[in-house]
Amino acid sequence: METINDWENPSLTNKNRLAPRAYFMGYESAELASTRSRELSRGFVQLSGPWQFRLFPGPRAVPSRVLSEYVAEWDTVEVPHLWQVDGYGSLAYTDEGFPFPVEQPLVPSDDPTGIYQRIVTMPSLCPTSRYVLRLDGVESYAEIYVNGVFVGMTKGSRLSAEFDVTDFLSEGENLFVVKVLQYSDGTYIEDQDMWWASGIFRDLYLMERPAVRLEDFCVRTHRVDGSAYVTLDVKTNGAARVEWGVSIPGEKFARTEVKDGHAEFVIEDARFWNPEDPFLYDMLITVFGPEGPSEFVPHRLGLAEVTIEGGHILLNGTYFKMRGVNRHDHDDHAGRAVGLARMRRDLELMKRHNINAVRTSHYANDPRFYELCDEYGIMVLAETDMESHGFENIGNIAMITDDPSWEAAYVDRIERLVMQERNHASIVIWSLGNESGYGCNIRAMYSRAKELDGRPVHYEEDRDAETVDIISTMYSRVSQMNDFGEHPSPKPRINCEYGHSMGNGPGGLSEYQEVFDRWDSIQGQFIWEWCDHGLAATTDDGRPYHKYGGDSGDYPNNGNFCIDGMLFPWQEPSPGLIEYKQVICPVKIAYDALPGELTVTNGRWFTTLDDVLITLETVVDGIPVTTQTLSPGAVKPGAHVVFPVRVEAAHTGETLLTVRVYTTTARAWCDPLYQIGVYQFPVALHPRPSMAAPATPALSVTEDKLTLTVSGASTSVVFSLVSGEISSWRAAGREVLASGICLGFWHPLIDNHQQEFDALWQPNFINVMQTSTRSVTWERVGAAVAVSVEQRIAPPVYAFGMRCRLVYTVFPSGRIDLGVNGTPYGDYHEIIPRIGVSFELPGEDRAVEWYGRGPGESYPDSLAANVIGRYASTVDDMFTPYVFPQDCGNHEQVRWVALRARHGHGLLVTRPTDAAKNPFSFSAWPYTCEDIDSARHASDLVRRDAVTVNINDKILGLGSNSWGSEVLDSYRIRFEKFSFALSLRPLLSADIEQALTQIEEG
Amino acid sequence: MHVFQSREQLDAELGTVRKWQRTGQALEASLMLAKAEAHSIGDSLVYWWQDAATLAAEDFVGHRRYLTVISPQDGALTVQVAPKMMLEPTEPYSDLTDRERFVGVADEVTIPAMAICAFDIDEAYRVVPGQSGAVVTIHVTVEGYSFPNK
Repeated sequence: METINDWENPSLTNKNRLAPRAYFMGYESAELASTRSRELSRGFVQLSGPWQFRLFPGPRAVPSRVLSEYVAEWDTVEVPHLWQVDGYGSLAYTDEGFPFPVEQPLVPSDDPTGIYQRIVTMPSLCPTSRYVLRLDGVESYAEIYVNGVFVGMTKGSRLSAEFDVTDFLSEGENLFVVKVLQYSDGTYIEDQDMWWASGIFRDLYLMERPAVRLEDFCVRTHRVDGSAYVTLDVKTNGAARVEWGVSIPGEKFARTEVKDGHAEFVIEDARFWNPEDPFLYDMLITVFGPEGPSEFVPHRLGLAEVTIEGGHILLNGTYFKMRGVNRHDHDDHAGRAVGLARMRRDLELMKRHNINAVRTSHYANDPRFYELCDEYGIMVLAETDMESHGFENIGNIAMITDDPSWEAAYVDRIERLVMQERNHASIVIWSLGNESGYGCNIRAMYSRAKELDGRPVHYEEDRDAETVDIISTMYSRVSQMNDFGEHPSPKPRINCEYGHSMGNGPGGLSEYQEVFDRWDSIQGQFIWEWCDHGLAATTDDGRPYHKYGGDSGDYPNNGNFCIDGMLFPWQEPSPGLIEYKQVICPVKIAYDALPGELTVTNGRWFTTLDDVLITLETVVDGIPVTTQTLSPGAVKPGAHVVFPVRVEAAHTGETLLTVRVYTTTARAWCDPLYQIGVYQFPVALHPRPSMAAPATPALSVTEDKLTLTVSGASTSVVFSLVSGEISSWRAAGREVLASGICLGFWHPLIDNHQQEFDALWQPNFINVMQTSTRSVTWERVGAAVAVSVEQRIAPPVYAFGMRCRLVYTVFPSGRIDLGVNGTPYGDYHEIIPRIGVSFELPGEDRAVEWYGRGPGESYPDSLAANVIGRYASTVDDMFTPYVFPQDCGNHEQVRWVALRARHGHGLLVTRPTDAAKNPFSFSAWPYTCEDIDSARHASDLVRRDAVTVNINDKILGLGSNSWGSEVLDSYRIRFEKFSFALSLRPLLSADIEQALTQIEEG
Repeated sequence: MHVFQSREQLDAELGTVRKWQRTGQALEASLMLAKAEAHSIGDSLVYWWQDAATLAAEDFVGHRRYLTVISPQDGALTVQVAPKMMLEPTEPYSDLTDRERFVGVADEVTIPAMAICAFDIDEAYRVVPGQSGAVVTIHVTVEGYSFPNK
C-alpha cells in the first residue's frame, strides 16, 4: 500500500501543534509588561538570525542524520528569509497557475527541501515552566526537531504555529532543526498571486510559560450610548485568581476580578477606537498563583464593536466607508520576509495618503502588523491564508473548495486567524480567502468564524453573498458599481479589488470614487495593490533593476504582472498613489466664484475638522499672488460649512484659486501642517492682449531641389522638400531642434493598455505606422512664410490611415506656428494612444519649466492630485522610473512649456492663441519612444544626449485594464478627424517673457 | 436592436461568446433573486429584475459601454427604440452611470414574453408607461475582443 506523505494529506493539518490562541506575551512584572517589548517578556529567546542551512532536492534526499547532527560546514543564512531570494533554488512567479502538474493533493517528488539548524543555548530551565517555540511564518510545510527528536509538524504558511518543546530541551546547548518543504497539499490553497518562494520567512522564537499562566483571552466591546461594556474571557493554567485592569495610558489601572474565567467592565464616557482617533487603553491581565502574581499580560485595548444594522456595517454604531488597499507582504530585498520597520512605514504611508483600510491579501500577516493597525488607525479586512485560484486553469476553480475531504484544511485556516487576532480593534471584517470558487468548505469556514467572533465575514466568490455577511465583487467597473448602488442588496457591499495599479496608472479613480461616495450601500473599496513585487537585482555590469516573472529562468511565468502596486518596490509612492490620496481626501472643498462661497465638507466618519487648516492661494498665470487661511473648526462628520471668499481676479491673465488642506496635528505618521489634499478652481480668464513689437526685417526664401530655407533677422529654418520636416532651425546662432517634428499616434505602451495593444493596436500595426510625404509647398502669407506638408500616416498591410496636413508658418520674429489636421480613411475607427507631435532637442536643453498641471505626471483620467501652476524640473527628473519602462511624465492642461539650457536659451511651445482655453499636454524624456518600448527593465535604458519632446493635442486616458476597467468613454480618443495648432518659439536667453508675449506679427 | 424569441435562439446565435453565455446564466438566475437587487457575473454583466412599471420613462436612455438586454417574464413589453443620432439629447453622457438621455420620436416594438431584446450601442430606448410584469434587465459589456477577467 502506498504511503500517504504528511505533506500530501489535507486532512492532516499538523502534528503536535498547540491549539491556536490569542497572540500575547507574558511578563514577570507589571513594569516589564508596560514596555510591551517582546524581548523583555518571560524567557523570550529570539531565534531569528543566523542558521545553518542546506537545500536538498527533495524530502527523500535529506539524510536522517542532519535532523540530529549539527553540520558546521553548511552555509549560514539570516532568518527570516526566503531561500530563493538568497540564491538557493529557483525563484518563480505566476499569477495563479501552479508551477507543477496539478494532481491534488500530490506535489512534485523533487520538492525543494531546506534544512535549518541552530544551536540554542538555554543556561537554565525552570522545571515548572513550559517552553514554547513559535514560528510566525514558514512556507509551506515544516517539521520541527529538537536534539534529534521530532517535535511536530505544521502547515499553513502565513499562520503562526506553536509547539511545546519543554520535554525535548536540556540545559546548555540544544540543536534546533527545522525541515521545510517548498510544496505541500497546503500549496494548493496558497496559490496567491506572488513569488513562489519558501523558507522561514517570519520570526521564530522561544517563550517561557510559567506553571501559573494565561492560556488565552478574548476581550470584547459592546457600546451603549457613550459607555463601553467590555467583557473579558480567559483560559488559565493553575491560576488562583485573575485580575483585569484597564486604564488610560499613563494613568492608574481600574481593576476588577475575573471570576470563573469571565469579567465585565463598564467604561463611562468611553473613548472608542476608530481609524481617525485610534485611541488605545492600556489593559493588563494579572494571573495569580498560590504564591502571588505569576504572570502579567499587557494588551492595547481599542474599544470597538462592529455590527451590521439596516444593511450597513457600523463601527461603534457609526456608519463608515473603507478607502483601502490590498497589501501583500513585500520587501524588494527580502520578498515576503518583511521586517517590522517596513510594515510600519507601509502603514505610515497609508495614513499619509488618506487610506483608512487594508485588506491583508491574501493571508494572515505577522501578528505585529495588526498591533500596528490598532496603533495607527487602519481598519483591517483580515483575510486568511487561502486561495486555490490555479484550479481555474483546469476548469473548476472550486474543485477542492467544494470537496469535503479538504474541509479540515480550510477551516483550520480561518480558526487560527480568528483565534489569534480577534482582540484587535482594527479588524472590522474577517475574510475567508480569495478566488477559490464557492462550496461547502466556504460555508464551513464561515460557521467556524462566526462561532469564534461576531464580526462580519467576507468572501468575494460567494458572489451573491448566499453565506457571508458582505456582498463583494472585484474589478466591477464604474457604471457597474453604480448599477449596484441603484439596485442595492440588503447586505452591505464592497469592491475588494479595483484600480489595478500595474505600471502607469490607474486612471479613472475619481469617477470610481464619485460612485462609491454616492451610495450608502457601498462601504468599501480596496485598490489592487499596495506595492510592486519587484526584487532588487543588478546586471553583470552593476546597473540596478528589479526582477519579475521570467527573470530567473522561470517558465511558465506571468512576467511583470506582479509589478502592479501603488508603491514602487523601493517603498516610495508612485504617481498612482499620489492621485489616490487626493481622490479620497476626506476634506472636500467646493468653490463657487460667482457668489464667492467656499464650502468645506467633512468627509470623515468619526472626527471633526478641528485639526484642519485651509490655505487659499490666488494664482495668476501660475504665480501665487495672495494667500489667506481658514480654520473650518468643529465641523461634524458629514456636515459642511460655508465661508464667504472673494477672490480678486487679475485684470489680465488667468486667475485660479488653489486650496490646500492641512492637518495641524502632529501624529506618528505626519508632522504638523501636513497637506492632506489640494483643490483648484477657475476664477477668471482675461487673455493678455497682443502687442506690436519692433519691426523685424522681412523673411527671405531660397529654394533648391532638396531644401527650402526661410531666413529672418535672427532665424534660419531649413525644410526638407523630400520629407517636409525641418532639417535645421537656427536661432541666435544655435540649433533649436535636434530632429524634425513628426506627427504621430503612438506612445510607449503602458501596462494598462496591454489588452488594447493585443486586440487592436498590434493586429492593426498602430505602433509601426509609416509616414509618407506626398507634397511640400510654400507661399508667403503677409509677412510670414507658410510651408505646407501633405502626409499620409498609415500602417503597413492595411488600407486605412490618416491623411494629414502640417502647415509651418514662419514669422519674421522667428516664431513658427504649426497647424495640423488629419482626416481618416478606411475602416479603423477605434481608440489610439494619442494625437500629437514629437521632436528632439539638443541635449543641453534639459531644464524644463511649464505652466500647467504639476508637479507630478498627469493624464486625462488621473489629474486630481496635480493642480495648475508654474513648475520647474529637469528632463531626467521628470522620467518616472516604472520597473517595466513605459510611457510616463505626461503633464496635462499645459499652457506653455519651455525646455532650455543652463543659460536660458532653448524652445518654448504654446498654442498660437488662448492656450488657457485650449491647453495641451507634454512629456520630455532622456530616451526615445523606441528606447522605452523596447526596454523590459530600467537597466535597459541608456540615457541619450538628445531630449525627446512629445506635445500631445490629445492623449488616451490610462484606465486600469491591465486587469480591470477599460478607459472610460470620456477619456477615449479615436482614430478620427482632428486639427490643432501649436506655436514654437525659440528662446534666445533667460528672458522667457519675450516668448510668452503675444506679439502682433506683421 | 435584436430580439431573440427564446433563450434557445440566443444560445444558438451567440452561445459561443462568453458574455452571451453569461447573459443566459443571468436570465436563469435573475428571478431567483430578490426584486431590484443587482448582481453580477464576472466582469461581463450586471443584472436584476423589476416591475415594468418602474422601468417606464419619459426619456429615451442610451449607453456607450454596456449593451442593455431586457427580457419581459410575465407578458409582452412595448418599447420605443431609435438610433441616438435621430434623437435630441436631454442629458449628457456620464461615465458614472454609462447613461445619456434623449427625447424624440421612435418606432414602437413589442417584445414577446420570455423573448430577449438586446439594444445596439448606437440606439436609445424607452419602456412605454402603463405596463406591468417582471422584466429582467442586463447590462452587458460592449467589450468583445478581450475579456480575461473571469
